[in-house]
Amino acid sequence: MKLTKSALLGLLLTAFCSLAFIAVEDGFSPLKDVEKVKKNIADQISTTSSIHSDFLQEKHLSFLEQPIVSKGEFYFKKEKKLRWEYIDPFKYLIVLNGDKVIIKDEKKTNQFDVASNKIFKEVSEMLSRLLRGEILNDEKDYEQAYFEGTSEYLVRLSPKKEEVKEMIDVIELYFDKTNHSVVKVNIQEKSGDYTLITFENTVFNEAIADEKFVVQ
Amino acid sequence: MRRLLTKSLWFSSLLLLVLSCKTIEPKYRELARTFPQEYQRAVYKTGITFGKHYFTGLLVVKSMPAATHRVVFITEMGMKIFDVEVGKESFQTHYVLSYLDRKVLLNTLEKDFRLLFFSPSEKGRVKMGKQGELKKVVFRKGLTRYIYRVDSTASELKRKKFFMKNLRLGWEGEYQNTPQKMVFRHYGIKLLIELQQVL
Repeated sequence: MKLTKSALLGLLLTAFCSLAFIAVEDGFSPLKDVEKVKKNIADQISTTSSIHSDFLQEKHLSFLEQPIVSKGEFYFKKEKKLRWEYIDPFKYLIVLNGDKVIIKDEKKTNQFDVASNKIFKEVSEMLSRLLRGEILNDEKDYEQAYFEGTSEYLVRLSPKKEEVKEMIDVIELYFDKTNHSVVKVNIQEKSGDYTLITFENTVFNEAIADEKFVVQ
Repeated sequence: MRRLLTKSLWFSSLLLLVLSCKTIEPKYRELARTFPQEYQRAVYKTGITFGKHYFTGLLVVKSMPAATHRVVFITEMGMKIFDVEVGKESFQTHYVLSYLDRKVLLNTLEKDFRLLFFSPSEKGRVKMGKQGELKKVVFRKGLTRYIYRVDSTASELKRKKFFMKNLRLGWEGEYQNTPQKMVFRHYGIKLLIELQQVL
């Protein structure tokens, strides 16, 4: 089947209009001054010594009408201390402290060396780079696209590594336009299913005891 | 000669057992199903002990329109590990993480999950007590037997091949028409799966 010139033009126009429609619908348009925003985000990260926030996680599966919602608390302390704790509807705790990962659920506590497991290593590196803002300069592993909405900047990261691409199609980071902190993370899969994490009640640079990153 | 006689006796007994199976009444067949035919989604906090290893995650199940059941396993952080759809005769893999894409694992999942949603067989026998109470239902499928028992709080289904027990599935409690707690214990491959409903 051959496409005539007018059919091809029509097709391109339709595609263009669809893209424009999506951009308008999302409320985001391409960001003009990317370097300035990257610098502002980097500055915000460099002046952040700790973060404490509540989070709401929604897992959207195509065959479910309602997402699976879980809630918890998140603590971060420079350089490499992170506590990610689910409180409702189940108890589950992940602590990253230096090169150790501790995972605790209602039955067991396990400790691992980050280096001992490929997935831990990948996730730990990704989190560290994200929290240090380095991920925005990582063009080797992620293709980047920047957008601007009324109250947020959106950074779309498309992984290049095959092993990451298998699990993640796109990571969307939403930054607050006023203080340049991450307010939402959307991890999309190829299937269309996605995980949306929203941060609320975020407090920066409060004193967080080291004990928060120790699990008994 | 004596060995031949013993073998023949064994074979005859097995044949007699297989042939003596009757069609089990639907009301007894339905007892062995862990989940009803239709229900809204259920989410289980899941712990998997395989040898010395321990993994956790969330198992999401939902009945689908075509009499199938969608079963998705995700980590607590939302990463999808597998997504399968189980029918009485069908098994469709929508997604499985590549390093777990092994035939032996998928076969185990298929057999285990089918036990949750469908009765193991139509043939077998029902054993009643002296007071007319149900003692057990024995399902037969080839040389595999599935023995269903229930007490006041919990139900169990044991799978035996020849005379060796190779799986025990226990379940108890009820929340929105679905079991609150389930346990799969595989004896041959040292696999224990414990599920507690959270949503």
